[in-house]
Amino acid sequence: MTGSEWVATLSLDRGRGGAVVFLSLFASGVEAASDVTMTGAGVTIRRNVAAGRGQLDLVVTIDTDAPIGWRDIELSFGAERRRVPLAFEILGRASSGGWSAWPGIGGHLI
Amino acid sequence: MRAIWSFWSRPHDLFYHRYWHSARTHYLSWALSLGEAQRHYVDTSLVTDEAGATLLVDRLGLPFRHVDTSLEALNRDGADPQWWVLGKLSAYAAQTEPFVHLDADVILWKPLPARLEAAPVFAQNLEHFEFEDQSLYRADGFMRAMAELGGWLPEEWHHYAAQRRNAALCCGIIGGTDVAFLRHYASLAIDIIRHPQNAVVWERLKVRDNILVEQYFLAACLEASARRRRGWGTDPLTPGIECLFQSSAHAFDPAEAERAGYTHLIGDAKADAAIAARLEARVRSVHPALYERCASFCAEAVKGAA
Repeated sequence: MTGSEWVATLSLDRGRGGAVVFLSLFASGVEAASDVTMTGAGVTIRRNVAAGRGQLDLVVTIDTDAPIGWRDIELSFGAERRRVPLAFEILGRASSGGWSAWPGIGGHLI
Repeated sequence: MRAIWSFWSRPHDLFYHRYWHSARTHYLSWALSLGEAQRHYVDTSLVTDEAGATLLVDRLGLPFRHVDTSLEALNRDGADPQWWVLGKLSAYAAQTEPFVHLDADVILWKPLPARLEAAPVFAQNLEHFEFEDQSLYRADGFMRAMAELGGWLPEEWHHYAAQRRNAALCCGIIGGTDVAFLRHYASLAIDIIRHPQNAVVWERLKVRDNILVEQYFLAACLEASARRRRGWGTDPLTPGIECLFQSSAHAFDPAEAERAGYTHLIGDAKADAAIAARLEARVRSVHPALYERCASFCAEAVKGAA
């Protein structure tokens, strides 16, 4: 059963298919999470054992064919589950929503 | 030609704001996008919701000639904010005269070329995807879910997909003189998103294929229109449309962008610290009054949060 939605802050919330992304969650008590999952297919989360008080570090491996778009992160605290909605985005290789090459299109003209 | 922008505040507030380096960068991009475009297009219009109008017009003082808050209907109807493209599509569908729609991260340093302003339909550039790599345009998975779950798509989509077309159109800018076509396309795209038969498909797919519905479907509609008109862009590989750039590769070429006088802070460019700094300096220099409004609003927001 998923508990109430819970606003946690994130240090990094985007990553591309085929990438390994380091992600930190910051929220009171987050380090006590026993399990962390992400909605949707194509993502593996490994918890970093060095989590500190109010901080949980994760290593996120994204499959190259993982569907793009925003994902929820769900954390278990015993029987309770909490969700951070729309917390992480998987980007496409090149798109209006995902390309990051400097300087964008004509960014050097600013 | 009317220059229009759209801003559906709900998706922005929920998650789209994370694309930006900061709220301040977002505001400054709006200021520069409008400030530069209005040098070329005096008739400017914002299509937004109530909260969007409060932010952009009341707080930031962006001097749009017209402000339309019809996107408030999306909030009243409980439209799914993960379909952020509904704001853009609704703006296209509301137009009654030739227009160019600009994303808020698009800067027109020059007016559009005459060939675009005279075109029935234009966009930023053609994009082609490989069927072996559908990480962006998830065409096959989309069709599979539609077929398995009894979803609804218009004939234009079915025909285009059956031909295995892989062309789409990047809509950093979109517009034209054939307003009837643009309204028809946008209305059909909205129907796809909101069709009751498709709710179960979106649940299966989980992620919302905004770019598929906006950009791939635009190409499908153009090809269908070309088939019906027999002579208006009949090449199936380049449906009847003018583009500012020949391709994505041309768009990302700094020399091409400079020739076109065009900036689009596509994707992660909005989060880039160096670009954020350049935006800060440029708006302060060339649009000082707008800069002061943005800076004051940001200062008030910080004070209010403390």
